[in-house]
Parts: sequence; C-alpha cells; structure tokens
Amino acid sequence: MTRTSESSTVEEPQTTPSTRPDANESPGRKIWAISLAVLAAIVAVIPLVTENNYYFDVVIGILLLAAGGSAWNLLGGYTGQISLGHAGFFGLGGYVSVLLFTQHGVTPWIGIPVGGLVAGLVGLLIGGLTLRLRGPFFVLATIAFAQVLLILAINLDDLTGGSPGVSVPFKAGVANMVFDNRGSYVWLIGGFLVVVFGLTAWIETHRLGSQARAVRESRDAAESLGINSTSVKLQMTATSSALTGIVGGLSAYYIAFIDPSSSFGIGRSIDFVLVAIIGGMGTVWGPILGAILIQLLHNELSGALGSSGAGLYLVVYGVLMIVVVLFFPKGIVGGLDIVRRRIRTNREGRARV
Amino acid sequence: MVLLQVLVSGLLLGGVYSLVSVGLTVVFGVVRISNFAHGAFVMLGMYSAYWAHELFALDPYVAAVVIVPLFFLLGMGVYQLAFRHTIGKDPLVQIFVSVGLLVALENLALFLFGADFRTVRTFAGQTAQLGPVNLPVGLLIAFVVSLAVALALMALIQRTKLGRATRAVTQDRVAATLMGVSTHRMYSVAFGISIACTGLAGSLLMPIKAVYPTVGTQFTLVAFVIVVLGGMGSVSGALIGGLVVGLVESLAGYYVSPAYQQLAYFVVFIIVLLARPQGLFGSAVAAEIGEEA
Amino acid sequence: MFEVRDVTKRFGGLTAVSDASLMVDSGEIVGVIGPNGAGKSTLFSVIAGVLRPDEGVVLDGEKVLTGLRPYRMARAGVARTFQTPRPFGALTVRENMVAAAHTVHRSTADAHAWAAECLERIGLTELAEVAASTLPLGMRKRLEVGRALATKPRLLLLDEVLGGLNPNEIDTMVALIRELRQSGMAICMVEHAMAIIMSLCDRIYVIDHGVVISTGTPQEVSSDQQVIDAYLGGSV
Repeated sequence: MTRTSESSTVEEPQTTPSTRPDANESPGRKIWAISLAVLAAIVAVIPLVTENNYYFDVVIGILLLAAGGSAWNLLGGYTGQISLGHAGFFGLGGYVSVLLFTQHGVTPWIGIPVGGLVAGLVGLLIGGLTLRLRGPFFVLATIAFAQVLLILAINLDDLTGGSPGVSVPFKAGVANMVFDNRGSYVWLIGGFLVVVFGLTAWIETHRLGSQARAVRESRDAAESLGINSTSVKLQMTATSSALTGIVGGLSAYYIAFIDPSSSFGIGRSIDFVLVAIIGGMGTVWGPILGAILIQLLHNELSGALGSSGAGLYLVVYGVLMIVVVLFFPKGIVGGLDIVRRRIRTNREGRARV
Repeated sequence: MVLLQVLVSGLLLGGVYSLVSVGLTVVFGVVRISNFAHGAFVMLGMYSAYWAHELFALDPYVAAVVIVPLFFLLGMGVYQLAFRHTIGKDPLVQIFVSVGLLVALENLALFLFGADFRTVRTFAGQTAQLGPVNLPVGLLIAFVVSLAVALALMALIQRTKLGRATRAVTQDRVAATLMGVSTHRMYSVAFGISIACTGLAGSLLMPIKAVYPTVGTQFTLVAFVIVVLGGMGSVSGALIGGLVVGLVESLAGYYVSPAYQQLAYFVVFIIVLLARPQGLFGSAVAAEIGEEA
Repeated sequence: MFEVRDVTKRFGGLTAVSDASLMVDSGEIVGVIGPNGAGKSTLFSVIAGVLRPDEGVVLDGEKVLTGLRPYRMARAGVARTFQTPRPFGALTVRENMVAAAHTVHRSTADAHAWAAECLERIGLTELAEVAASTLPLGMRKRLEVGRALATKPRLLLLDEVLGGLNPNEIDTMVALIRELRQSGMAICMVEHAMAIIMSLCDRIYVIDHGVVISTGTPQEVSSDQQVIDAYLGGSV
C-alpha cells in the first residue's frame, strides 16, 4: 500500500510540447459520443413509451446487471485481474447506504455515493494486499474476501440485522429515493449506467485504459516500458469496486431490501462475470449486450419452465459460460466484429469487381 | 480435558478436509489445472450416496464401491468435454470454464433435488468413547480412509509408470510430448483420480453431514487453502495441511466463537498467500503464486 | 553517458556478474559478447532494474539509477527489449505502440501521433491494425524495438534482436540501429552474430564467467589473446 502514494504523483518525463493536432481528432471519440447519446436516449425514452411495471422490472434488471458487469469489466476485462469477490463491494455499498438511512436518517442521495466510496477504499486495500497474486490465487483471495464479509454480515447482527436482512422503509419521496412510479427508477439507474458507460469509453480511449491492457497482456513488458503496473491495477481496482458499491446501493433501494446472502454470496459475483464474458470482456458494449441477453433469457426460460424451472436457467448460464469462453472468447461483441468485417470485405470485393 | 477433545475433533475434521484436498492436489498441485468446481463434485458425491441410501437402502460406505469408479469415469469425461480445450490457452479460460461448471452443477442439483438439507442416518452417526474423549464414528472412519487414500496416491505418484509420466508432463509438456507421453491421456486420468476422490469424500461425508446444493463452495475454498498450504502438488503436504486447517477451525470455534469458525481458515489462507506463498512445506512455488518481482 | 561501475550480482553461491564495469556514450553502439551463461543477461537485467546488484552502481552521468524498479528505469530513459519478444498479444500493433508512447505523452492525441511516427520509423505502419500475436518473429522483434523507442530512451538495451532473423530482416534491423545511433541514442547490445557485431559496434565488452575479460574496438578485442583463448578460440 505504501506504493500508492508515490505512484500517481510520479514525475512524468519531459514531453516535448508537440504540435498538438485538433483534440477532436483523438481516435474513436466521435463514435463513443454517438454511442453514449444513443444509450442515454434509450434510457430516457423507455419510461415515456410504456407504463407497464413488468417491462420496468425487466429493464431495471438489465440496467443493474449491465452496470455491475461494466464495473467488473474495468478490472477483469481491461486489467486482467479476475475477481470472483465483487459481491463484497456490491454488498458493502448496499449495506452502507441502507444502514446510513435506517439508523442515521441519511438520504440515499448521499448514502449511496458514500457506500461507493467505502467500497472503493476497501477495494484499494484488498487490491494492495493481493497485487502480487496471479491467476487462480487472485481469484481465490477475492472469493475469500467476499466470504469473510458474508460471514461478518450474518454474525454482526446488531449492526446488520443478520441473516433476515433489512427492509428500506417505504416513505415515498424523492429525498428518500422511493418513487411511486417505477419509470423513475429507469431514469435513475439508467442514468448511472450511462455514466459508467461513458467512464468506460473514456478509460478505453485514454492513457489509463491503454496501460491497463498492456499490464493485462504482459506485466513485465509493460513495466519495461515505463508503466507502473501497481498504480494502474490500483486505479482500476478502486474505480471498479466503487462503481460496484454504487450498483449495490441502487439495487438495495430499488428492491427496498437487503440481506447478506443475496448481497455477498458468490452468485452475485458470478452474475457480473457472466454478463461481461458473454457480452465480451474488455469491451465497452460487452457487459450491456451480455446483460440484455442474460436477462431476456432468464425471463424466457422462467416463463417457459414455470416455477418448476427455478434454478434451471442457471444451469443453462453455466453451460453458456463454458461454451462462450471456449469457442467465442470475445463474446457477442467479438462475434459482431467478425460479422462486420465479413460484410466489409464482401462489399470491398464487390466494389473491386 | 476439553482442550484434548477440541484437538481430537479438529484432527478428525482435518482428516475429512485432507480427503477433499488430496483430490484437488492431483489436478491443481500436480497437473496445474484450476478446478473451481472441485467442491461441486463433492456435493454430487454426497447426493449420490444419499440417493443410493434412499432408493436402494445401500449404506454410503457400500455405495462408495460403485460411486468411486463411476466418478473416475465422470472425471475423465469432464476433462475430455471441457478442460481438454483449455490446455495451452490463457489460464483465465480454465478458471471461467470451471466456474461455469460450478454454476451448472450447483443449479442442476437445486433443480433436481431442491434446496432442502438432506441427511442419512446410519451407524456412523454414533459416537464412541475413548477415555474422556468422544470419537464420532463417521469422522473416525473418514479420517482413517483419508490417511489410506493419501498413502496410496503417494505410492501411485512415486512408484508407478503412470505417476512418473504425469510428473514428466507437468514439468515439461513439450519434452514429455516428444518422449511419447500423451498429455491429454495423462491429464484425463489425473482428472479421473481427482473426481474419484471427491466421490469417495462425498460418500464418507454423507453419514456425518447434511447435503444441499451449495455445500460444495466451502469444500472448494478449504481444498484450495490446503493445497496451497501443503506447498502445491505434495500429497503429504495436503494431508498435513488438512489436519492443520481442521485444528485451526476447531480451536477457533472453541476459543473465539463457533460463529466465526469459518473465518479462521480464511485468515490462515490470506496469511499464507500473502506472507508465505511457498506454503508450509514447499519452497519452489512462490514464483508461481506471486509474480516474480 | 551511462555507466555501470563495479557491479557484482550473486545468486546464492553462484557469482553471475563479478565486478563488471561498462560505459555507453550517446551516439555509440556498444556490444556485449561472451559464451552462453557468461552473465550478459544478468548484467542487462541489472541495468534495466529487474535485478538489484549486490555491489556496484548504475549511473546516468552523475545520477545514481541503481535499484530503481523497471518502470522507473524506463522513465529515467533506459529502455530494453526482451530476448524472447513479449508483445501485448491481444492488442494491435498500434495499440502496443500507443501504450508505450503514453509513458512520455499524457494526452491521447499526442501519444497517438508519436506512436504513428515510431511505427513509420520501424516500418510497421502497414500492419498497424493487426493483432500483435499474429506477427512473425522478425516483425515481433521490430515491434519490440519500436515499443522501446516510443518511450524516447537515451539508453537502448537490445537483447539479441538479430537472433532468428533472416538476412533481409537483419539488414533492416541493422539499418534501424545505425539510424538510432545517428540520432544520438546510446545503444548497448547483446548479440551472438559475431560478423555483425564486429561491423556494427564502436566498442565491445567481452564477458566470461561474469568477468569483463577484454574491452576495446572490434579490432583490439579480436586480437586480444585472452579473448581468443577464452571465447573465440573454441567456436569461431
């Protein structure tokens, strides 16, 4: 942890003040601006075109999964640090924001960001401790971290209410983040997803993302090129865990309830990993596309199988995960890329004829 | 006297842990495949023993005679179907495949058997008295069997052609291939042995522990803890590591609080990973766990 | 002027480098030769900050660089290539270069512009959008050098960048190295191809069993009886 303080403030080597081209020329910026606008428009319009609560539930399910998957993706997809303990950050953010409200009357508009901050700081601590661990050992350490929090949340029942969980009192009002109309939650959580999306796109196209991917591919080579892998990993860990904490807070206020096993359980961690893998790890759109697919699949399967199918859709997910990892390592985004490239070569081929 | 009881209980519990871990040692320690679904197979083993008892009135110990060979085949099948395709790829692929397997198996069990805790009552549920110490018969049997299995595996790895070939493949895959050792055959046998061990562990655990779909998670974690603690790939290390973890859990349960019993081995695990990654007995694995700097 | 002064590095009982000293001036190509296991790689690792020497110092003029971690070494102007290239495989050639360029350019636009310039210099512009993992060995080695260049080093450590290349690729690489010398870079290279080393380097250090046994111009070194006995005598 001592390294963090020095890392971000390290002196940069002198850069020759170059003839800076128009800042807008920075590659892909326009594409991301358009994508961001499209996503924001979709989120803005949904509550205007329907009032059906069932649709709202589905959409909000997608939004929460997409935001959580995107947050995980910053660390797992871009930096190559595979965490199966993000439930820990999710639960921390949720519990901090809910307990601040139920025990101290702090409005969730403050409580949720505070929850994110706590999750981010804990992430920084865990990240610092586990930095040296590679592959399966890092995974194990993150699982152990979430399990420790799970055990604590169950047993510190004076503070957390123990296994039964805590309900968020229903006092309608914007200040309490309790809305009569579920469409408002679409705007709230969708708005947050837009922020996460924008942040991911920004990181992807800027220095941090470039360096993170270099560290992911080869830590030694990255260090030899002047990249401080410790600092890069910690920055990504802190961002990822803080965003996940906020997702936890939003989720708790949306369902107006929080309990240890659904917050800290390994299933929660796996959900985020799943949408990122299926959509495409290390891509901006991946977790969002993955979340749409997973949520719709979930609804279809539970519709088709009824209550007897409880759990069966997760069997399908598990198998899906194996198949995607083995045969479509870049997920949906990778698949779309191949299709796009094929269309382009076809078109060029025709143009040449 | 109470302390003696706590120590004995801890050792017996550790024997069970050793049994679960020895199987993981074979694939993770020796062959370096990270199988996060290891505990899920223990869960399957327990359900197998449970249903053998419910449907055919077989004692779990008798059922093991059938379950173990079946699980050996199951392990080879799982290797050929899934893990075979992960060899030589990014290690993350293997992690994700095993996590996918874990999700699928746990939820298959949930779908088929529900979330209920299920137990089997046999003679193994009784407790023997040895002086002032209580000895749960089921735990005692599990302890003895795991000792025997560990010794047998040690002999298998050290003495037989198969064991030597497996070690050769692990040390240098390319050279081994050149020498005509088929990597995939070795690995699938190793996987078979590993899963056979989980089948045995499940059968031995069923008389003393309730089964439910997610029971495996704790075994997966404990097993990885022990394999690392034992210095990766050493069967004797896993055996002793299992006993140590059992003791730690038992002592923590007595001196701290039963509620935090499980916290104890996570603490041990984290300390081992961070402070002494070469484990208690090994030495050359530090570089593998941590990065070189 | 970069200098290694009296460096000793031991691994347990084995002394890999013993009391070695070496100097590289800007605009100079210095060759380090010696039999396999002579300690060349260890010496490189010490300069690059991967290994901390047991004794001795690494200097940039008056500034002490000893013990800096690799990324700080790189920021201090020391870049190195790996004997076995380590491209960022899943990234494109351009992204490889951009990641390195970001060490000297915080702004994205500047980093991209500088990366494009370096790509042009190593002649990989045509392959900029190709995944680095798909490059053949010769191109990988060029990318390796290009990435190091993108960090704007003053000292460039080249670890067998000619090994495994075909004659054409060797010509291209040698021309690139000469060009870099022209631009005032200090270059230190470990190489096995004697003929090329002799024609390319301004000065040569011969290492055997961790000890610098001879140093001087290629002519001086190749006529040194000690060198002929210890190294050239047998194999060349």
